[in-house]
Amino acid sequence: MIERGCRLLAESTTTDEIVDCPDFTVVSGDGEIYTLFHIVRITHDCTETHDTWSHLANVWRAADHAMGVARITVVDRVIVDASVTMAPRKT
Amino acid sequence: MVLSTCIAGWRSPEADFAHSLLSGRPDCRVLPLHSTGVEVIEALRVDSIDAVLLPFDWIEVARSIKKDVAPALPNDPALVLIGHNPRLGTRARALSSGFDGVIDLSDDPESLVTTLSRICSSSARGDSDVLQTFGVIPDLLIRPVQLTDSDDSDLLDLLAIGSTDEEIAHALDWNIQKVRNHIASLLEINGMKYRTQLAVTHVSSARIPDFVRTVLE
Repeated sequence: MIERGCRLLAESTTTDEIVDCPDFTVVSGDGEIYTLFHIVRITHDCTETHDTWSHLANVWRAADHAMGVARITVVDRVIVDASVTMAPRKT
Repeated sequence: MVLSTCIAGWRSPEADFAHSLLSGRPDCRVLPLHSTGVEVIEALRVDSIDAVLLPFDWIEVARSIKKDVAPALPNDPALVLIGHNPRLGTRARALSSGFDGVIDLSDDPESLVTTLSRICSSSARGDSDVLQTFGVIPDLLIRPVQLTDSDDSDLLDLLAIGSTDEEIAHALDWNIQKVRNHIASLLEINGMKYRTQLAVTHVSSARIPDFVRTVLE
């Protein structure tokens, strides 16, 4: 997922420079299913190009450690919204 | 093999009907009808009973037997829901509350004992169709919620009265992600799939009918 206009962050940028907690949960299934993710690295800053989300991050899902990419919205160092696209599994 | 059964129900047409179907059969020993939870528990203590048959409105009795009485018994009696055409939701709730199986009294009477024997054999307990359809966790409502830390108790109290994540965050002075991360962790360590399962399990764990406490003391 390459987002036009997003600023690529230096690899030395650590997660705790941007958010207080590297874990976040996505709620789905009519508010019933809670899926916990952990940020591996925040790769892009998109605060100047997108209104609805602010950063791109590589994440893994806590339940099975599957990898994915998340669009996250960070407000006051807290992830208030997130949308995750899981990487296709290799067979 | 002769199945030893105990049927419970206070003025219950299902209990009366089941009693009439099983009484007099050579492959089944039926104790007299029990009309209170105390009677059922005492019967379980003095007699070796393979199955206890209860109508749906005895669901709290079944839950209490499974949670507080059965662990102290030498044998492991099957708790069986009896009813006429029990709906899928009824079956699912029964299995969550400690019942081991369901008998539809509208079925062929000849198959009753066969079904009962199948439920009593530990390998066939539960109801696979219902379990798969609803993602039911057997005996969910007879166990306490495992907590990850002391804050979880406050979170569960709010969750169990129907508070939203936002309301819980406001009440506990947490941010929304902290609330959701805690709920996700609780679901994970308790082997649950849905938020509502946490709520109902927390509520259920607080209720022990007085008659059970009286008998246990």
